[in-house]
Amino acid sequence: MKKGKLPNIYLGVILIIMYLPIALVILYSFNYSKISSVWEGFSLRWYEALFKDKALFEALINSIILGILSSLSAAVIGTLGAVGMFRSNFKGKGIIEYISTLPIMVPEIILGMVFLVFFALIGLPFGMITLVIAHTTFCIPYIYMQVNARLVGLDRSYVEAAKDLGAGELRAFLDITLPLIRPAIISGIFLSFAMSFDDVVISIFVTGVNTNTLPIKIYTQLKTGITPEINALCTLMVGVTILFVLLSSWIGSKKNISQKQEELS
Amino acid sequence: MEDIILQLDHIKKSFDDTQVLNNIDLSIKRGEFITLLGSSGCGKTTTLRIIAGLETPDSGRVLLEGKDVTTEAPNKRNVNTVFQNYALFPHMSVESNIGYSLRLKRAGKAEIKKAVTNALETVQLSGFEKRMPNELSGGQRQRVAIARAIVNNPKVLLLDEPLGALDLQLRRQLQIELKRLQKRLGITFVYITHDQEEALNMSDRIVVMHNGGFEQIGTPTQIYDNPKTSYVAKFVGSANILTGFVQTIENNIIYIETADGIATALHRNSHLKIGQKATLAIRSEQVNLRLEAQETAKLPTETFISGTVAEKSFSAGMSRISVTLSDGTEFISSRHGIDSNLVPDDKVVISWLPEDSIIVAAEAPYEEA
Amino acid sequence: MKKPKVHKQRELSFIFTIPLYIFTILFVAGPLVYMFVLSFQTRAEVWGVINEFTFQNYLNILEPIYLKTFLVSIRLALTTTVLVVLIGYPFGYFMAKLTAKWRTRINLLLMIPFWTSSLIRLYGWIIVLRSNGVLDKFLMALGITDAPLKLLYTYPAVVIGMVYSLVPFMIFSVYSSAEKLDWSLVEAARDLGASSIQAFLTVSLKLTLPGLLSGIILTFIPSMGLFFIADILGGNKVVLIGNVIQEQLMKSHNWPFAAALAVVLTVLTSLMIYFYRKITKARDLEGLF
Repeated sequence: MKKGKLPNIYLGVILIIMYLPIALVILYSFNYSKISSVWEGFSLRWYEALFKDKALFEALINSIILGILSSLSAAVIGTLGAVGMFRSNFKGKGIIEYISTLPIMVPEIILGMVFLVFFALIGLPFGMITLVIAHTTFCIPYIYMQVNARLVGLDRSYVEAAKDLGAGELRAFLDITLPLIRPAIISGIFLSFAMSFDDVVISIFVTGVNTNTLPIKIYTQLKTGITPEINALCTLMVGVTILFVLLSSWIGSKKNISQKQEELS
Repeated sequence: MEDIILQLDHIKKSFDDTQVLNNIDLSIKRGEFITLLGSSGCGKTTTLRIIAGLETPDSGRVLLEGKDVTTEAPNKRNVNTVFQNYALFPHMSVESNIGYSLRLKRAGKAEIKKAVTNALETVQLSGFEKRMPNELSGGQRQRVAIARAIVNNPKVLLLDEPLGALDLQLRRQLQIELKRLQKRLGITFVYITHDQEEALNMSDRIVVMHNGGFEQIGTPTQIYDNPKTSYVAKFVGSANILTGFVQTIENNIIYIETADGIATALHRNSHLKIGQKATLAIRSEQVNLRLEAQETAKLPTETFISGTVAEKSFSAGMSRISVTLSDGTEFISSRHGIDSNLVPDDKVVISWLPEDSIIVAAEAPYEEA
Repeated sequence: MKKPKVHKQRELSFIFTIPLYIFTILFVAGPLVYMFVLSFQTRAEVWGVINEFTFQNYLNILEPIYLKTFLVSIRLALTTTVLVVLIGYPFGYFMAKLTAKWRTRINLLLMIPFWTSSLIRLYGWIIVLRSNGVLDKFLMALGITDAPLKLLYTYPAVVIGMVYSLVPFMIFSVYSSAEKLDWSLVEAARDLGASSIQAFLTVSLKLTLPGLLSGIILTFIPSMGLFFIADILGGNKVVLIGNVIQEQLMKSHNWPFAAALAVVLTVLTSLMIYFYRKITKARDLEGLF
């Protein structure tokens, strides 16, 4: 059928266009020449330079630490919040829920600006502290929504059975609820980490003079002058991303199988 | 003096604006197998949850061995529940599930292992310790759920329609097993079901529930043979209900006048007087049908009611004929065998002997039988 | 009497929500409120703000240069959204029609660019678009053009960058809706006499509407604020509200004015979403089953 081919061609074309920039970056990271448009032969020199670049390395470490701190803080606050909200029904509930999920509904530029002026108002030192607070704030909604969705689908008789068997509120939460929402928390953490690691706009606003995150460093370099080291760095990051995506999909498919078993029975 | 282990005292409960339980009073004896029987919405599950502590009544008390536990949390009562969907913790193995309550009490490892092994043996699942719930069949899960609940030696075991999700064969088999288990352990069982056959087979006593109240409490025999109200009569065993006015009472037989003829029943101890409205119930197995045109000798005490055949069907070895009376009431006759040359639209006579029918109350006060 | 048990559950749940409460009020509600307040304050001589109430900041926005910036930003957001819909919707839709095996594969293929830093991908576009860059070389080699297009640092370049960054969101949104589509409904429509296009318009489109709508919102909101794309691909030529805000905040240190701009931006965005939702809700109910 002629028509049958068209959708697939479309998919293919779009995918190619999507990968094009990435492929080019990777390609040119191996280019001996400093000027990207001229190909001078295969070389790893930029990777060498990369590893010697202390500032870049520092920025990378900062981003990783920031990502871990923010996603974990968001996980604790978001998970406890989701569980607590799920079981309560007080007057302000809807409002608090709405406000706490606002950060992903508001354009980042506004968030960034808002954080900047507010932190200045209350006198927080700009740097890692403000970065972590800001990142945690916009990570919380991701975790909250994931955990909440999982809670909604969770059969409440599990917790009731635990109580019936002698567990108090806290024990029932720790032994039953928490393990059962764990997948949602974990996927929320990964999502948060990725969002934090990739964040440019908000970080620009709330970072201190001496603190650089990786995206900020790349951004400033892109504006001032492009060193080919960036290509190498980007290639490595893409490599990590690919690894990561493959890994999580492999884990995900395993979970799917056990979850399906649970559902069938 | 009977040993009452659990007492429900004037329990009332409503959800939103609906009154779900309307003044429930019940005394449960130690060691008995008592069943709450009723269709969905009658309040039986709510009653169970109140006993378990998963709900709190609006008013009234729950007394466990004399002690008021109405507001006590479920984890503080020595009462355990077998949930309808078993509620086995999916992330724990069979032995972890069963041992859970003991771990909460901080029992020793050896003690827990011993108790788990014993419990598994009791439900005939020895060797299943390491399995995960999603690896078990429905029947196996049900047994693990029971093992998990009995390992605590609860004073009362509550079972919420535990056999509902199983197929007929398995259900029948497990009914027998459960009954045996209860006798062996000696634990008081409070059982919920909507299946009257199940209730009749397993229980020492049955509580028929309807609309948040008790229609009748009694042994299976009492409930089946002597339903007190038309609801019980219809729900337990399939009975036909007929209403009319008392015409005569003679020789211990009540003659009730209806639009289609005279129906008879034994007087027994009913307090009916001439002219009063009366309701009787007769099982479809005891209803006789013959063509009106047919001449037969009629016993003076026999019922004689006219009707028209509406439908005839055959299933599970029984001929089921439904007859319509003048006011539209449906009367069912159920007989073994393919029987009968009756066809729809035939004019027939319904008859039975007074010993086969029972006077019932049209509304629902209940009395201890 | 009834209190003890019920209380305990409420207690624990309440304790759990406390961190969320604090964080939300302190770091979300607080800042937003402060921004609003700030927009009415006056800028101090050298640095900072004085507590003088004024409308001047909002009046300044009415100056043509800023109004023009708003218009450009809105125009860009709209253009981007339309293009994202045109490119992303078919993709998500066709993707949902594939077999399970292929769907997983395509999903995986989409994940990689999606999770790759947006900066990296933008950088790639610089390589493509700049003078004598890959695109120019490609077109010149084919003989379509004979001089460099100089696409970099122009409005179209920014559009390309925005669309490229935001299309994945639309695809995932549409896909999650389309995946749940009951194809037998489309077959039923065809069976009853509808042509492919009619079946699509009356059945598929209506049923994937939720995905489309959330995709539009997921595209439109960010596109009002992704100023760094305009920065990188547009240089100084393309100025969006986001750029102005950033500049006012970090270079000119005119915080109240930046706040006012932000307030207006927020209001605009919320209004557009609100009306959009209203319109589509009405149409949604109109012909649906």
